[in-house]
Amino acid sequence: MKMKITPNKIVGSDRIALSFNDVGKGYTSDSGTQVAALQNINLQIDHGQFVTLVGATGCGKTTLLNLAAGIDTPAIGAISLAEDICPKRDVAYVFQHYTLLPWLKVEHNVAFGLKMRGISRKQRINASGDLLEQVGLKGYEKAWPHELSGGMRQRAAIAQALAINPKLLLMDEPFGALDSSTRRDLQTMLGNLHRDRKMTILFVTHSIDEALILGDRVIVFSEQPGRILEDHKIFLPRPRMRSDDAFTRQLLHIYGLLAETHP
Amino acid sequence: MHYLRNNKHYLHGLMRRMGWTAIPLLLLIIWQVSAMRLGKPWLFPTVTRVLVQLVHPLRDHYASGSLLSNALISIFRVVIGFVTASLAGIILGILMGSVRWLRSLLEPMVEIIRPLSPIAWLPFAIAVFKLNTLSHLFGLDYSRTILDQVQLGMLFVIFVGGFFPILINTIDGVAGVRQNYILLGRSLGANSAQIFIHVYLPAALPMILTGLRHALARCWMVIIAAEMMAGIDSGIGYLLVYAADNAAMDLVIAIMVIIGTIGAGLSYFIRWIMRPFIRWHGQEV
Repeated sequence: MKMKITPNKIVGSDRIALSFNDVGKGYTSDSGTQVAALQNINLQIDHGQFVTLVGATGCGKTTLLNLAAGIDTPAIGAISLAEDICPKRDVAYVFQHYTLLPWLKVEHNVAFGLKMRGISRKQRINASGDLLEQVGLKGYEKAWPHELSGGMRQRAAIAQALAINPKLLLMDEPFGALDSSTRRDLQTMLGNLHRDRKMTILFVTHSIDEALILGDRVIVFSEQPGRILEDHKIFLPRPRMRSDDAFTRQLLHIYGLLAETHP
Repeated sequence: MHYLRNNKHYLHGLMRRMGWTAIPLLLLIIWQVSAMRLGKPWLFPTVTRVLVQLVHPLRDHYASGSLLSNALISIFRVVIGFVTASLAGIILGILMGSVRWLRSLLEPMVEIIRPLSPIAWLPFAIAVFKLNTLSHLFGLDYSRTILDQVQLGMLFVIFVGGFFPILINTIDGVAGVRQNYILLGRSLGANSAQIFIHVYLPAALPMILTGLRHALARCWMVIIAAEMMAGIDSGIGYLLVYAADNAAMDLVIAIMVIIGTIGAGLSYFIRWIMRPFIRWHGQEV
């Protein structure tokens, strides 16, 4: 299949939501040396696919998300979004830290995107209440972000992103700072949200376990320069079972891959 | 250990109560006794004579108005100058804090003008604006309102006094906004104007508030000094000098008390107004 490459605009297939074509990106470090963050990235992501990106810290995963979000532009190559995904309206981003605006109560944080769209106060507060219920934060509408635990904050951040009804959701290690049991709860919740909403998700993590639990596909990155080592499709049924032999095999396989490049 | 800590707390509480009661009372007694023994009220009046002035805020002095009317004139001058300085300082500060080239363009000039004492501007301002008042600005010679007492030159120095602290704090506040919040705002669909109003402004608000408080205190100091200049015939600072010229030291001290109290009151007032907006400060997660 031959695709038309138009930066940040059109993809010539209705199956593909997002595509990276020969993307490269470098940056100058604080000490002045040139670092290649990404090299030869070719990646096509289908509509509704849950794609997880794993690799060592500093391998350019975040850069890839920033490129997809349009926060950053590639030095070479092109990134294309499907025609029906407007980069300004349909792409949401969830970070690991500082995910909520500290001067707004939880319900107004969730309603922020709708406010920017000029939705009336009553409507957006209603929508915000519904979303908070969906992420298990009913009753915390009037709380301040600093009154929430880490896990609750990430729940609120997900609700905030979902409020704009994104077609593409970018998540940069959203559960990276959580303890393992909270993390599992949130993984389950995110899996369910993805099942119900059918949006495309690009999810960066450094936990291979998390990547395998959540993803339809795991993209394994090498570090410096960031390159795709393997595009690993997962055909295990959901919900994924950690006790499953196939799960463990794939986990060990990816561990092996990363160990080779990062001795 | 526990016993000791309790004892320490008790001691601290006692000292705090004494700091508010016993110590001021002691000083007042020393003042009263020594003033009575000295017997020169034109130089060092007793506490009671000062109190008599303070409990008669409406008494007219030298046909120049009362303590209250002159204090109100001073407050009115400060409020007008301060509000204009705040608007200008916050708007320019947000622009300079968020647009890098604008900051580079204007910062040298700001740094050159800023260290100059606001009072040093007064002779110049009076020369330029003469003794024109706000009433002249509206095309009237006399409006027979308080506007007649607000000289443009005086407003100018109050503006200069308030503008720079607000500007500098707003720039620092805005430049220090976490990049993450900008990205978050953008990813949720905010355009540049919305980022300005809904991210930069609230995020910088604690710093802006610090600037406002600092600026208001400065404006209040500036007005007292400005009113002491020749050609001004109203305001609490004017009354202070006039009372001193007439050797009415009881009135002088009463005015000093009033000036201090209003200064503290203004600072408290602005903190009280702003408190709900910055409740989140220091609680970022």
